[in-house]
Amino acid sequence: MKRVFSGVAPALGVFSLALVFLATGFHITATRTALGARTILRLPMQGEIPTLDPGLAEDSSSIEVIEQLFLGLTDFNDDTSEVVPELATGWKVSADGRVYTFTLRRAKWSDGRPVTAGDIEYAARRNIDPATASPYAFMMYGIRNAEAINKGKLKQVSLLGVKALNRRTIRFTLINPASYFPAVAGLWVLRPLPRRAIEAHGLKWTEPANMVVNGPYRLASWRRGDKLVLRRNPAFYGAAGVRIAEVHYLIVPESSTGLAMYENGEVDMMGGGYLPIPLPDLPRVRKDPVLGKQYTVRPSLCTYYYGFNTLRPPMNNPLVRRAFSAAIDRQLLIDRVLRGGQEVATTFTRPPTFGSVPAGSGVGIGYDGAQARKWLAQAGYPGGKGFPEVVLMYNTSESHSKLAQVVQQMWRRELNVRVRVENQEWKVFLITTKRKDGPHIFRMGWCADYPDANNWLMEVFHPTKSSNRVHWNNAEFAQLTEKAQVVRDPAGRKRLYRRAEQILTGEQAVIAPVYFSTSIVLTKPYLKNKVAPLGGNHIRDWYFTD
Amino acid sequence: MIHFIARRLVNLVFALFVLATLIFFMVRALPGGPFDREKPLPPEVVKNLEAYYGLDKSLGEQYVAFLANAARGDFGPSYASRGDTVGALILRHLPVSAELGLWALILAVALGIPLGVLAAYYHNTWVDFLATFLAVLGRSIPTIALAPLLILIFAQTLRWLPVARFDTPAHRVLPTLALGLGMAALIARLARSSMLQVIREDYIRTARAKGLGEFTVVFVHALRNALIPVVTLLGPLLAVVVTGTFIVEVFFAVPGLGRYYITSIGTRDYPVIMGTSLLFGAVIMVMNALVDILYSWIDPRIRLE
Amino acid sequence: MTVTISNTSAGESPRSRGARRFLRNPAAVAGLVFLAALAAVALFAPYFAPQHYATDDLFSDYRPPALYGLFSGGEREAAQDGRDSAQDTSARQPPGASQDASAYWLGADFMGRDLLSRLIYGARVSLAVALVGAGISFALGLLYGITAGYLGGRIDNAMMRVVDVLYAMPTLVVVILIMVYFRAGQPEHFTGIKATLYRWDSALGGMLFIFVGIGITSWLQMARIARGETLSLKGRDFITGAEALGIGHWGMITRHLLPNLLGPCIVLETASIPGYILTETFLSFIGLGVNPPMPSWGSMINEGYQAMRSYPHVILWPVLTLTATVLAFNFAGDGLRDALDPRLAE
Repeated sequence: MKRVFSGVAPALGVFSLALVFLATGFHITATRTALGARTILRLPMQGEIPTLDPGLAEDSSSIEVIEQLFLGLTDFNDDTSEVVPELATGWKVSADGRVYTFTLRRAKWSDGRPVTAGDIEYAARRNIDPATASPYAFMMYGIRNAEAINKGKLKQVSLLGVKALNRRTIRFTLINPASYFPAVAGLWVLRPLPRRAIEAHGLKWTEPANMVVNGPYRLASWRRGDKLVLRRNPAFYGAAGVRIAEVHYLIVPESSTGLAMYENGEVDMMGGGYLPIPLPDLPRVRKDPVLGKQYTVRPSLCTYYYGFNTLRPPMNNPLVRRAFSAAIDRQLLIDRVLRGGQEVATTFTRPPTFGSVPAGSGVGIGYDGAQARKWLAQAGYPGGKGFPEVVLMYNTSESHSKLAQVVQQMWRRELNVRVRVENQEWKVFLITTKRKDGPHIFRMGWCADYPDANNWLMEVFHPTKSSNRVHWNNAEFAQLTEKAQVVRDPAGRKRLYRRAEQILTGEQAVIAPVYFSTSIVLTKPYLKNKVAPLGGNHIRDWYFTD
Repeated sequence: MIHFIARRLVNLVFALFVLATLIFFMVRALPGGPFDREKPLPPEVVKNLEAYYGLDKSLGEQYVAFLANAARGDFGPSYASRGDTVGALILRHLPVSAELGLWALILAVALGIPLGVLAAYYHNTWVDFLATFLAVLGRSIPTIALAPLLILIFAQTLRWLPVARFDTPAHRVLPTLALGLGMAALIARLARSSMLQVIREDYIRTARAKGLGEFTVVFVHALRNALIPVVTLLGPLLAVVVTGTFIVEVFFAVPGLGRYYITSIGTRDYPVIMGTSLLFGAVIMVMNALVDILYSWIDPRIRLE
Repeated sequence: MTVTISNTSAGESPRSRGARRFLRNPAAVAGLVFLAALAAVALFAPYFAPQHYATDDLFSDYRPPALYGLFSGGEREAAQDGRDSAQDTSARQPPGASQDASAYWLGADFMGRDLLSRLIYGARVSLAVALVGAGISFALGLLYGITAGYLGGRIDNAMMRVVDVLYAMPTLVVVILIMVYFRAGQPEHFTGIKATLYRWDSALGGMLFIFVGIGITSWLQMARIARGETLSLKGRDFITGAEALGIGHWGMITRHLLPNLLGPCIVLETASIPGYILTETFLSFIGLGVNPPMPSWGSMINEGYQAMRSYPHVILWPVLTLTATVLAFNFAGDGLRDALDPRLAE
């Protein structure tokens, strides 16, 4: 037996060498057969796809796939982000603005059954039920009794203000005349669900064998953490117009790997909601004669900002906060560090969202070193004298770290203040920044769920009805955002939000907005696509040109 | 032999129990829970989720329940991905990690042992220095730099191999190299030093004196004995690579188990943290026991205690 | 009675013979000299580094190394520098920092910080990690292993069981758990031991918990080897002889066992050091490295790998230095091993 040992090493050497050659050969054949008529779209995804259940989704990966599988009453236009009908043929609003009645078009589930108003009623009741524990159930809180049911105060789910009047008509009763409701009606928590499949299979209803969908694609296979395959759904009413037969979502955690895959033709697209292009490689991509032509920049409805803890001295002084906001040279950051064509932000709501303030309208605080020093002096710290060390905290990530270090230096240079940068792991960071004695300054970002300022100002900074990480209690701001939920005149709502922005980012400066995001996209020349600014791309409209 | 295995088994169970206890309470001491969100869930919804997963009970009760379930091999559902269980997750990703680990180990042995033997045989000559240099190079380039470099050279410049993923045999080459080169270096170093010791022993001189060929002397007589320390190393090494290696899996988009050790901490996916950690511990200890058995088999002078 | 194993025929003491053998090995000497020089540079970093590690200049971002200029026509490269995004801010006057291109011998990083300076300061982290890892390994592992091996029996059994359990711990998971735990919350609200630990950690730029993480596992291997060696030494004549003379436990360990164990243990340690240095790199990768803007080679590699194609110099230098350092540790370790091995013929 012992002889085996001594012979093992050389034998293995030859074996593994042979393996490499064999493998190389395999690869070449594989690439060749892949050529031919293009039918498969390969998209890289950075993280896991946690769920395909529209009621349980909360992350952009899940929502992207769900967009291909399920249709809602409404949808958003890719260019204007305006609400357009999808499953609905239209809707009527009652005189007081509190009752919305939608009529449905003819549509089928992938098992051949018709999609009915009852399916939406079922979905709404299931998702608002606290037993489902839907993380995005709060999106329905504008509907009558939704909040009480979701918080367990009202046990009868049937009292929810969602009622199927007949197979084609569904009625929503709201607590406020929220004029943005048509946008909410299309969100994933209100998409029709296949009751039979869910009741038959429980949590396993999203497995390929059990899943019933009504969207342009159906689930063909799903190897969690690796690859998800969608195939055209023949039961979809617009199936004839869906030109890409198969969509492969590939999990690729590292973006530099993803870019290499793109350049080598292993994926067809990068960015635009999929695996982002690595920041430091952007200048090369732009200058490259081939990649440069495949590179496009589209707005993305997200804002990056630094928030101030308004309870902690010295940040409890609005003058200090204004000084810090004015000392950030946003354009320099965008040009030298971010390099992705982002836009300077001085307000919170990302244009062109309804209720946002157009860029350059003078609302909020822009970069002005002299003014920043003046404000700091007025606050009692001329030339930064006597200013205590403050902490800037971000959640652990290479790109947040880079930005924080640059801003730290800007504050040191402009204001002569010492800022310590610290990072915490995301879950810890969420808790730390919720505390009243949390860090002086923290980084955060916000992306729209639906394109209305209510989703921004009200849902992020309302003193009592939001997470309010800045710990402020501005009565005027609260009133403005509440009133904007009731007012129906669009011009009037815009005025209210403009004033709210002035308070948030100017007078009180509880946040320093830094930049409005962009979607940096690389697309192979044979693919025609359009990226949705809100996430959830419409792959059914995309096509190959060869 | 049976006595030995029985004792090791008792040790294994004891060690896993201690390990489970340590990690259970360490994980729970971390701030932040699985249901903390940027936009906080209503407390009532969190309560529901906690009741569903049994997190509403006292920590002590949860610990007992965990041990009882774990003893039956049930580590429960994953919190991060509803509908998925720890058992399914391990069954899905462990084979991938194990396969990659085995390829890497084969490469490491095939490359490391000849390199180490050569270095020892030509001790303190340029061959030795070159071999050592190569070995150290393999070990000292961090995977974070090596992985993108391999992609740049073999996938992007030479275009011999695909960049990433784990589909065809060709896809396996680069991750195997990234994982195996460092191990090869480690084995080469160890093989060199134990070969250096063995090569001067009397029985080697005898073998030479008997007029046996140099190749036979080195590769048959000397290497067999020089391999003992290498085998000691292989056990834990195998355990580590078989249960997944984070960086290689991340860079080559390999759907192995390695990334779950780290991502599950980030999402506070308690069952996944426990399941993967205990699996790791069990594999390490089984490997160490196997090494001991292998030991007595290679060298009958060593007896199993 | 001689303490060290003395089976040399020459009259020369084994120690000086070892030193002589070490000195005759050019690779080992080169390794040692390199490490000594590196330690000196790291210790006196402020004197060697052209700039402070945090001094930035956004208008010199990704500036290529001035060193390149020496080899290729000089000005052409320097003129090109990092200014490719010629947008509105480029016209603005740079805010402060020195514009002397010759300052950037090894180029600059994403925010125009001098890479040479960061490399020099970063050496502190890598060397400290190596030193602390080795220190804990020796202080704890050696003592633990000798005690277990020397006392034997039940105590030995129990002590090694502890090692077994710790050995089976997924090291990285434990390190991450510890680091996340200690870095949670804010120092202002800490009390007692956590506050003290946190102050030390801040003073060390976030290195303390990296040390703790590496330390908790680094000593296990050492404990095993030390125990094994002790067991084999216990059977030797000179130990039984010493026992017969009635030497106490402490004297036995310090005067007889320790000196004989040191050789193999030093060799083991030099082989482990690269592992500690690489662990720091890994921790940087998952965001648990030193606190920015403090540099470490690991964090520099981590900042550079995504830009490998655009700006290869950012990752080139830290990888080269790290490789050279590991190489030096290996050559010095191998030399030491050969020099200390009594069985090696001349």
